[in-house]
Amino acid sequence: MEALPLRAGGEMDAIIDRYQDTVYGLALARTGSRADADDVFQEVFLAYHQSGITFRSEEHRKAWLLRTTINQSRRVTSSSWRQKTVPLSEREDTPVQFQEPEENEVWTALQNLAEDYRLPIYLFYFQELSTQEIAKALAIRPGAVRMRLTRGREQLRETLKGAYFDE
Amino acid sequence: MNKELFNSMQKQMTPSPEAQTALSEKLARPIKKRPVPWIKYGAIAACAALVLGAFPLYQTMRPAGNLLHSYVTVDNLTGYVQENATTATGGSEGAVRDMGMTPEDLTAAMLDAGYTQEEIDAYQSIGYQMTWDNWWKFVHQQENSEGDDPFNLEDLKLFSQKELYVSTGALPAPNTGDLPGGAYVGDVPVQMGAEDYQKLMDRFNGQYPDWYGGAYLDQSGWLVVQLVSSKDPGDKTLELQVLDWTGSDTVMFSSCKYSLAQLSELMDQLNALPDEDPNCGGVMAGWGIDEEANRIELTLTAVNDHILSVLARLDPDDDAIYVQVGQRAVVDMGDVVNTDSARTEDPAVHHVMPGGITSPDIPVPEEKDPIAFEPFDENADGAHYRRDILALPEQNQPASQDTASYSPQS
Repeated sequence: MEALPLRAGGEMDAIIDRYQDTVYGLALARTGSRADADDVFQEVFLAYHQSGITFRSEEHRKAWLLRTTINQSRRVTSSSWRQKTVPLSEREDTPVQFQEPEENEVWTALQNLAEDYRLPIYLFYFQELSTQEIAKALAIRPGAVRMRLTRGREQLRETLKGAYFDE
Repeated sequence: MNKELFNSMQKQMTPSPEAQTALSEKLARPIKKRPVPWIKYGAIAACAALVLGAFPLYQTMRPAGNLLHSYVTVDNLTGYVQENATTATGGSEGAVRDMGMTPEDLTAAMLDAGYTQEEIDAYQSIGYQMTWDNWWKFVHQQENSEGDDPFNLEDLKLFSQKELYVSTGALPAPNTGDLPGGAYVGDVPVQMGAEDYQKLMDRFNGQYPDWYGGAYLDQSGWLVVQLVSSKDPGDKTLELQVLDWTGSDTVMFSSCKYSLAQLSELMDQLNALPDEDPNCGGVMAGWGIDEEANRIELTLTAVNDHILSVLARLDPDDDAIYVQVGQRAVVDMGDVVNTDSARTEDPAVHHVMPGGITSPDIPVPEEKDPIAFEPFDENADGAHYRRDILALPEQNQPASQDTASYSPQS
């Protein structure tokens, strides 16, 4: 992996290219809407560009981006303006669509999980983060991450009949 | 585990081209300066400080005329410093009356009253701490007595035993003769308490700690040490320290609000007040620290809003200075005091003198003042006047009899 400058603001194209899927995917899992995920994606990289932070390591940068993504997603979904102007049926009308039916089935099952379980499952299976990294991104203890992973897996296994979340 | 499935899904989770284009455009713009967080927090802190500090600031800054110190009105003030008012008093002339007499003062005063040197020596050897106030009280009392020899040693001793303290080098103890347990002056309890006090003072060496609120002897002669409640940790360390210093187990403790150092500082401010503010000095008659009451007692001859506002600033809690306002007890002053100023006698300037009243507000014409004119006689020995050269009305002439040879028994 190419070394990028640890100070935010430089080499933005390379940074976006490396982390856009991570940021966008987490935003999509958190908001459940591509439009919102697009907004979050822009806000996160704009914030990164203007922050002027010098990161200690690449892991530090990644953790910062994950944390900022979660915060921005929360801000977008809890916005009073959004709550007043977006119809409740919007998500049903424009569901996130994947290419394969089984992918849509997994995504729907994931979206039906409570948020406390959804994000750890997404970060663990899709982003392949360790429990320590997930704990840092979600600001919870690693033990809590493991517990949520276990319970989230149980719920998904029940929904999906164990087809996609074998240990 | 369906890693392939998840990878496939993850690859489909990419931002829309529109979002990517919009982001590129936003990044190309000059960076908009983001608000610095500390400015926001600083503004919040400033608002909080404004809200929290507004009331105390208002209290401090608002005109002092709105805050007045309390006071009590007392009829017929005696002008005596209360018992246990052991610290030096302040004040102008009025305070001088309340201060103790030096041995030289006492000797001169007793000689003027007619006591012999032997009587004076005998009296002073007892160690009574005579004050000017008590001396004039005794003189006035004796002048109004019916005896032929009012100024005799026995009456003075009797008066002193009832009214005075014994100078022990420590705190004065009331010598009323009827104290509980028979604690007369010179008795063991009083002496022990005084010694304890002296040991304590030796330890302090003039620098009072912030936990020390003063000390006094109670009626049984025990030393009572006042501990400032806000400085007392409550674990008996201060008490043990005092007991260790005094080496005594007969010391008692009491709690108080102000330290003696605080009261002394307040005393300094009061002492400076007459010079700084003549309007205050004009009505301040006397003041001193009452260690037992843990406050300063201030006597005013008259009260006005100005001095009350000044006192309120000095004593915002209204309990460090006890203000009493009143007129002195009026004695028979005759025609000479039949004026407005004399009727509202000012204890700061009017002294009861032996044999009558001197009112400095009403100057005596020089021709009527026997002291103003000293008949010159080169043969005079100082003890005799030559009446023939005194150009005074008959009623103002000195006694015709040779006063140097006057004998009460004759």
